[in-house]
Order: sequence, then structure tokens, then C-alpha cells
Amino acid sequence: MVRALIYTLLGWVLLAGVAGLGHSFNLTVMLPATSAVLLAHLAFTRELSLPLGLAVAIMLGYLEDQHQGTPVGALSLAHGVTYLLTVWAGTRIAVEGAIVRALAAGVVALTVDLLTFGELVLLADRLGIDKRTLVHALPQLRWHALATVLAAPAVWLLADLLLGLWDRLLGRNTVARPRSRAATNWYRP
Amino acid sequence: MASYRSIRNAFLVVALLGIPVLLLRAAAQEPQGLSGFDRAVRRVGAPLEAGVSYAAGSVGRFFERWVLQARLQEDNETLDAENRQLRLELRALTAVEEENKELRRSLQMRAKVAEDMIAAEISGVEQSPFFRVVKLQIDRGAGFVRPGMAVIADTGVVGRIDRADEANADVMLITDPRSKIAVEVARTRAPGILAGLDEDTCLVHVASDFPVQVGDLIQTSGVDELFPRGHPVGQVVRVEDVVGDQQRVHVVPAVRFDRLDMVWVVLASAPPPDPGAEQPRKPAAAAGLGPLR
Repeated sequence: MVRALIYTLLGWVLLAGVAGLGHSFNLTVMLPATSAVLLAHLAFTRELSLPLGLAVAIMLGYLEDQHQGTPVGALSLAHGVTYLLTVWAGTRIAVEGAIVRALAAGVVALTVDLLTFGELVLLADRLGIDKRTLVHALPQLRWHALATVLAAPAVWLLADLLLGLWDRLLGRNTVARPRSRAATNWYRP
Repeated sequence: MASYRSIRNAFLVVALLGIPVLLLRAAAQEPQGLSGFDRAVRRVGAPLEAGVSYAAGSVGRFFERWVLQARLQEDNETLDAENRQLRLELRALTAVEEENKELRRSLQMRAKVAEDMIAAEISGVEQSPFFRVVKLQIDRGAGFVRPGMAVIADTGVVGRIDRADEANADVMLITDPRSKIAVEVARTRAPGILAGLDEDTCLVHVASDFPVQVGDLIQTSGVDELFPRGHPVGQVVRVEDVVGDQQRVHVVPAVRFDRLDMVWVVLASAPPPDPGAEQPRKPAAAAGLGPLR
């Protein structure tokens, strides 16, 4: 439960941090989706049980909704569904090494964006959004994914450090089992 | 047990996914509406973002200052290089200015001296313990310079041409032991022959009838018809009485030979003064046809 809280708080701080940094440095480039990186971390390291991980993913999405000004629930749902897809992918592919993790985070970010796009297109009339505007924004997704790929190693490392610190506080042995390979066995039969 | 867990997880997943769906539905119905939970999250999130923004801004300002300092350093290096270049140019300009002044002095001297002269540039100095010679390079009028011609500068007498070819000449300085020129003491007009003594001193023998004092100016007398009369030669620094009717006078040349760049070679003596120059002359009649009267 504390790990879920750590993910959520870290996601919130990163979310606010990236926004604050973007504002402070007058960045006009696409900023990374730190929540997507945490989502990938959450799914591929299997730190939490499926329901708890999903709850964290939805919470991260909700926070994104609040900060990004999207209709509340849009990013929450996208994060939740992406988490489930990532968990499913994690049972079939191994994500090891900084580059693969970064690429995986990029794919997760792209998935979240595409799902959000789909939701918004579906609700475009109700929300009063022009669909052409949504389609016009699609090419920007690649930059969002690229920014996420570039930021992913640092975010991943930060999550590892915090969770490792929590393990150490509890007296758990994290040396024998590196954080990135740590896994719960909830998905095993 | 495993199936129970799976069913429970499935239920939880559906329930959890239902939350954002409901939220999205509510948002679609009322896009601007905020629930109590939304407000609470915003209440926490806004200061968090503002705090991070402030902290990031402080860090950013620090780095900005650091970058600014780096830029200032770059600017400083650029300005330093520019400054060095300008100093070099200034030095060159100062040299040109000095040269210009010297040329002006030379031109003034040219106006003062009646003799026909030609300008020449010092191109080198001979290094010999016995003889003191400088090399001249004649810019124009090559072939006119001959041995024995007088060489003067704006500040005083330099020496005489020792050897000459088409465009180059050696000047025997007045401090050279071989040099002998006719001089006089400016104050008393006492004549004498100035000979070179050592590196920076000359010697003149003057009749005892004309007392010489330290500080007296020595100038050319023009008796030798080589040097223009009244051109400075040097200053008396020491006077020795010798047996007989002579006094030995030590003279320091007026010209600093180590700082000499340009000199004048006296090609010919000035014509004798016209005795009737002061009297008005009657204009001579024009030759050829005159106007009808």
C-alpha cells in the first residue's frame, strides 16, 4: 500500500515538477509524460498487485487530468487501460536495460495518447471539440513519445531509488534481488 | 483459491475502470464542473505545482546567472582579443604619428636650410669598435650621392658620406675618429675642427683667446663648404686647458644616432648671398613686340 502511495506521490511531484520546469525555463518543446514512465515501471516491475497497480494508474491519470486540463476521467481511463495492456505485454516480453525500458515508456506514452485521442474523438461532440483539431494534433504524439523516451531513464531510476529506500527502511534485502527485477507473483498460477 | 483471486481481481479491475468512465461521463455532461474531490486535489496540486515552479525558477535563475557569467566570460575574451588588436593598431598609429612628426620636422628643416638636399632613410648601423658608420638607403635621386657629402638631421649634424653606390651609402658619423668638420662655438664664434673621439663624444680644439664654457653650443661654421652654416653639432660637456694657446673641448653630439630614422644629404652648397637682394630692381624690358602708343 505504501508503494502505491510512493508511486502516486512521485507521479504527482514529477507531474508538477515537469510543468513547473517547463514554465520556469520557457520550454516550448513537448514535455515528457512522467506518469507513462511510472506506468511502465509499475507494469513491468510488477511491484504491486493488479488491482492496486490499476488503482495507482487511474490515480496517476486522474492527476494528469487535473493538471493538463483534460476532461476529468479521460486520462484516468487511458492510464487504466494502458496499464492493463502493459501488464498483459509484460507477461510476454521482458523489459530489461535502460534503452528497452525507455523505449517501452515511449510506447506506453504513445498508447496513453492514442487512447485519449480515441476517447476525445468519441466524446468530441459532447465536449464541443472539433475533431479536425484532434487529428491535427496527432503528429505531435511522436514528440511526446520521444520526450518520454529521453526522460524515462531518469524517472525509472528515481522510482527504483525511492522504492529501494522504502525496502531498506523495512529491512528488506534489495541487493540480492535488484529493484528492476523484483516481482510479485500475483500473475503466476 | 486461485480462481477466487482471479474473480476478485477481475471484479476490482472492472470496478476501478468504471470510476474513470463515470468521471468522464460526468465531465462530458458538465465539462466545467468540479466535484469536491476535484477541488481537494486541485487545492493540493496547485500549490505543489507553484512550489515546484518557484523552486525550478530559482534553480533556473541560478543556472541562468551561471550561463550569463559564461557568456560574459566569452564576451570578455572577445573584448580582450579586440582590445589587443586595437592596442596593436594604436601602437602602429603612434609609430606613424611619430614618423609623421619627424617628417614634419624634416620638412621644416628643409625649409630652413638653403642647400640642395636629398632625403634618405637609415637602413642599418655598422657594429664596429673603431668606426661609427650608419647605412643609408636613398629613396630617390640615386646616383647623386657621393663620398664627402654632408649628412644632417633636423636635430643636428650626423656626419659625412663615406662610401656610396647607386642607392645606398655609408655615413661616417661625427663621432667616428676619421671625421673632421669645421665648427664654431655659437656664443663666441670661435672656430675649431671637430673630430670624433669615442662612441658618444667628439673633441674640438679651440683657441684659448675664446673662453669656452660647459653648456656652450657648437654649430657648423660652413668654412668647409660642405655643411650648411649654423647647423647644430652638439653641446660642450667638458673643457680642458692644454699647454699652449689651445683648449680641448669635449662635445656631446646633438643627434641621438640610435634614434635616427631619416636624414638629409646635402648635395650642393648654397649659392653666395645676393648683395643687391635688399635693393629694389627695375623690371627688365620684355623682348618682342610692345603695345602700340
